[in-house]
Amino acid sequence: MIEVKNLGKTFGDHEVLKDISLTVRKGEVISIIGPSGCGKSTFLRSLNLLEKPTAGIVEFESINILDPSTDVDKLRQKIGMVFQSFNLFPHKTVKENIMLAPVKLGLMTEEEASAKADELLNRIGLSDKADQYPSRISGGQQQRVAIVRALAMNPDVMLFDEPTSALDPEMVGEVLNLIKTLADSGMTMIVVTHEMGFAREISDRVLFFNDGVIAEENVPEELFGNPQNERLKDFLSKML
Amino acid sequence: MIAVIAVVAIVVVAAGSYAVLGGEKKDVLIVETSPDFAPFDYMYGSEFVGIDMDIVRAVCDDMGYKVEFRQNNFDSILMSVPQGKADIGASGFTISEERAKSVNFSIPYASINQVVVAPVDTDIKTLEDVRGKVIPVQNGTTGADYAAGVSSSVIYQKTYSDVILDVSTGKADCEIVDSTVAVAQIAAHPELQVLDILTDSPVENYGFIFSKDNQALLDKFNASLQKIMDNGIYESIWNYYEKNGFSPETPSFFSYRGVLTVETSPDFPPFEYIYGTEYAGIDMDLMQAICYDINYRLVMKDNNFDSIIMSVTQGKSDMGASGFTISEDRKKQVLFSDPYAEIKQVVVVSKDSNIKTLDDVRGKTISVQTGTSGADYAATLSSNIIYQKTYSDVVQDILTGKADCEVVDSTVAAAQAARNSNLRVLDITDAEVEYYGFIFAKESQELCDLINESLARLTANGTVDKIIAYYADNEYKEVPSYYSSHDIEEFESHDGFWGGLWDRINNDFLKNDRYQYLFKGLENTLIITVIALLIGMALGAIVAMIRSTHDITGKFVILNAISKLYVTVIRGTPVMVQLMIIYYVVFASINFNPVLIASVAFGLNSGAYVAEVIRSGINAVPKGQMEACRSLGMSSRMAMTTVILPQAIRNILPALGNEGITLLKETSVAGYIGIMDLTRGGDIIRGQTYDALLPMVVVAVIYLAIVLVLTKLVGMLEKRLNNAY
Repeated sequence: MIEVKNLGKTFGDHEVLKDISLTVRKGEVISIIGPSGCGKSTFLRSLNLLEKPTAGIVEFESINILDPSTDVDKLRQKIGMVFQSFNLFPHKTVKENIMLAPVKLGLMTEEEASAKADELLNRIGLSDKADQYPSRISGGQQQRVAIVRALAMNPDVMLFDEPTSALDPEMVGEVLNLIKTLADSGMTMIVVTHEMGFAREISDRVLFFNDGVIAEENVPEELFGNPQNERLKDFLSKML
Repeated sequence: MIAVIAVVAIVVVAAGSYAVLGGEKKDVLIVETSPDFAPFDYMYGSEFVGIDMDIVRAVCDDMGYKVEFRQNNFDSILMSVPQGKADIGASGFTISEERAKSVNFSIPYASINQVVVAPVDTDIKTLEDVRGKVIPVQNGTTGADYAAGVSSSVIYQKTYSDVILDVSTGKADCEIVDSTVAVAQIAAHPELQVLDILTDSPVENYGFIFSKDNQALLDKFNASLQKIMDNGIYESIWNYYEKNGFSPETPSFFSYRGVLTVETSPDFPPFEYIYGTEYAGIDMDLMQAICYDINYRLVMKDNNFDSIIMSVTQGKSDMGASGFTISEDRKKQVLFSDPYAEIKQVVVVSKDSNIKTLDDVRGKTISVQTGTSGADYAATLSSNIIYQKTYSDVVQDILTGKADCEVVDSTVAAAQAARNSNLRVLDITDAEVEYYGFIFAKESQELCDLINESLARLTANGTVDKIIAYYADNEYKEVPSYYSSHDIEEFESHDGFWGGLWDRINNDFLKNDRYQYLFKGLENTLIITVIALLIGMALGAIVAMIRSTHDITGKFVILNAISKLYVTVIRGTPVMVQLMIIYYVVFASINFNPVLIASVAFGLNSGAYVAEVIRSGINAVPKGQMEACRSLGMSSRMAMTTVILPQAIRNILPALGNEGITLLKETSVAGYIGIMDLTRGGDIIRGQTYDALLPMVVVAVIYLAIVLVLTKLVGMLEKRLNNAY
C-alpha cells in the first residue's frame, strides 16, 4: 500500500532522514518509536507530503506522490492524519469539524456528512458534544474527535503523530482504546508513539528510529523482548 | 464629461438666462412660452430651449435686456401679454388678423405649413382621406382651426404630448400640425409618419406677441430681430436645430457652444469666495461676464490654490481663475490671459502693532498664504515665515500674536480689514506692482485668445470697471456676486475669541446655509471612507493571502514580490502624496469623478495596512490548523478561506477597526484634489467668515462623533464574535 524507497530529508545542512526504505501492506499496523529528534515525526509527515522529502520515492497505492503531476490533495483525502496537538478548528463545532472537509471537497452532501458525523460521534460516545465548540471539551475528547474527523474522509491509511503526548495521563486511555478498536477493525495504520505497551499490543511490526535511520525493525515480541541494537536497549531501559 | 462635473461642481447659472447677455446688469424682459412645442419651445433639463427661445435670447441680448422665461398655457399667454404680466409671448404664434386685434406681432420669424401626422401603417393618402377622420389637435393652434374645417370629430387637447398619445394609441386617426413640429414629433415617435398632403392649408407666419400698449418695445425688438436675421445668427440657430433633426433632445444653441470649466480656490476675498451656495468675487464675476459674452456655460470647480495649476495643465479644467499673479516662473507652465487686475503688496498688522515702516517689518515673523506673491516677497524681508494654507489661518496668526504681520495683496488686505476691526493695512512695501491673469494649459492658446478678446470687449464697454467698482463700493466685504439676485446683507462683526459666540455660530453655520458645506463635506468624507474601506479590505485580504501562502508553500513568487513592493511603497510614502500622484499622474488624462479617484487612492493606501494586519492575524493562527486542513485533502486556498482567515479576522478585528478609524481621518487630505470633504468644508467656511476656530472645532467634533460610533460598532462586533466560541 505504501512503498518508501531511499527516502532522505535534509533541513539545510542537517540530515534528518537518511536513505529510509519501508513497505507497508494493507491492514498492517506499524509503530515507530525512538528518541526525540530521531526523525520519526518527519518520516511520518513525509508520507503525506506535509514535509517534502529531498531524496527518494514515496509511492501510495502505486502512485509516486513526489511526482509534480500527482494531485497531492486528492491523495491526502485517502491518508488520514492525527496530530499531537489535535488541531481541531476552534471556530467550528465538533460536528462541523467532522463535516467540513467532506462537504467542502464535494465528497458528500450536507445531509450525508451530517449522518456520517452522527454515526462517528455515536461510535465514540460523544453524540451529546456534537454542537459544542472544541474549547468546551476535554483533551481526550478533542483527540477522539480529531480521529473521527480523519475517519470521516474514509481514508485507506491512518497516520498518528504522537496522538497521546499532549494529553493528561488520565485521558490517554480513552484515545488509545479508540486507536486500538480502529486497528482491530483492519485499518492500515502507522503510529508514532512513546507508549511502549501500546505499541507492543497493537503493532504487527515496530520500527526503532535513531539518527534518521531505521536502527531496528521487528515484530513487537522480538523487538521489545530481545532487542539487538545497543541504542534500542538503552532507549528501552530508559522508557521502562 | 458633464455628468462627471455635475458631481463635483456647482453650476453657476445666473437667474433666467445664462448665455447671451453682455456682462452688465440689465433690465429683465419676461417672456412667456408653452414649452411643449418642439422644436420651437421646449424644456431641456431646467432650461427653456428651442428656436423661439434662442431667437428671443439673441434678440434681447442685442437689445441689451436680460431674459426671464416663464411657462404658461398657450391660450393664457394670449391673455397675460396684453395684460402686461409678460412682456413677450414666444410660443410659435401664427400671425393672424384676428389675433392682431388683441396683440401686436413682431415681424415674422418662421414660415410654416400644415401637415398630417399619422401612424406608418395608415391608409390615409390624400387630403380626401383625411376628411371625417378623428383628428386630435392642440387647442388654439392653426392646425385646430384647419382640422375643424376638415372633420367634425376633432379632439381638442391642451398639449402636444396628449395629441401624440391619441394618435399612437389609435384613439385618433391622424393629427394636423405645423410641419416643423411634425418633424420633431416623428423623430421621437418612429411609429408615426409625416404626410404633406394638405394642399389647401394656409402657409403661415410665426411672430412673437407684444402688448398693444408697448409699441416702443416692439419697435426695438423688430429692429434687433432684423439685425440678427441680417448678421447670420438667426440662420445659425435654424441650421443648428435642423442639423439636430428638430429633436427635443437638443440643448440650446447658445449653451451648445460649450461648457467652460474654471477652477478656483474660493478663500481669497474679494477675488473669490463663496456666498451662500454661489461663487462670488471679482474673478468669479469676470468669468461670469466673459461666459455671457462668449456664450459659454460657466462651471466652477473648487480646488486648493496649489493644485489648480496642475489641474489646468492636465486638462482637468479648462482654466484657472484664482488671483494668479502673472510671473515668468508660472509662464513656463501655463498660459496667462491679459491682466485683469493690478495689485501691490501691503502689510497687515494688528491694531496695536508698532510696525510703521518697511524696516520695522524686516526680521519679524510674517505669516503668508503658501504659493502667493506675498509669500515670495515676505521671504526677502525675513527668515521667520509662517506658511499657511488659507488666509483665515494667516489672519488668525496675527490676531493671536503668533505672527507680527502679514504680507498680502492690497485688495485682499482691504477685505480682511473690512472683516476684522483689529487689523490695520500698511501700504509700506517696495514690492513691484503685480498683475493678475487667468491661467490656461499651454495647449489652450485658442481658448486663451477667446477669453482675451472677450476681456478686451468687457474692458472697453466698462463691464470690468463696473464689477471692480461694485466690490470697492462695498468695501471689499463679503457680498453676493454682482450677478446674484441676493441682496447684500449687513456684515456682523465678531471680534474677540469667545465674544459673541451665538453671533459666530450664526455667522459660521446658519447664515447663507453655511452648514451645508459641512453636510456635503461629511457626505463625501463618508463615501470616500466606506468605498476605500471596502477596496482596502478586499485588496488587503488578497495581498495577505498571497504573502502568507508564499510564506507557507513558496508559491506565487512573482505575485509575492509585487505584493511586497506594493506594501513597502504605500507604507513608505505619505497618503497625501499618493493621492496627488494618483489624481494628477495616474488619472491625469482621464476625467473621472474625483470622489471615486480619491476612494481608489485611499483604498490602495488602506489595502497595504490591512494586508499587514491580516497577515499578522494569519501568522497568529497556529500552523497546525493549516496542516490539519491539508491532511484532510483541502487545497491551501480552501484552507485559507474556510479555516485560517475566519480565525485570523477575529484576531485582528480591533486592529481592523483602528484602520477604519485612521482611514476616516486620513481622508481629510482629499481637499488637495479639489474634493470638498468635511475638512475642506470647514476650510471654506473659515475662508468666508475669517473665523479660524469655531468651524474647525465643529469639524473636529463631527470626526470625533463618527469615530466614537465606529469604535462602539467594532466593539459590538467583537463581542458577538467572541461569544461564538
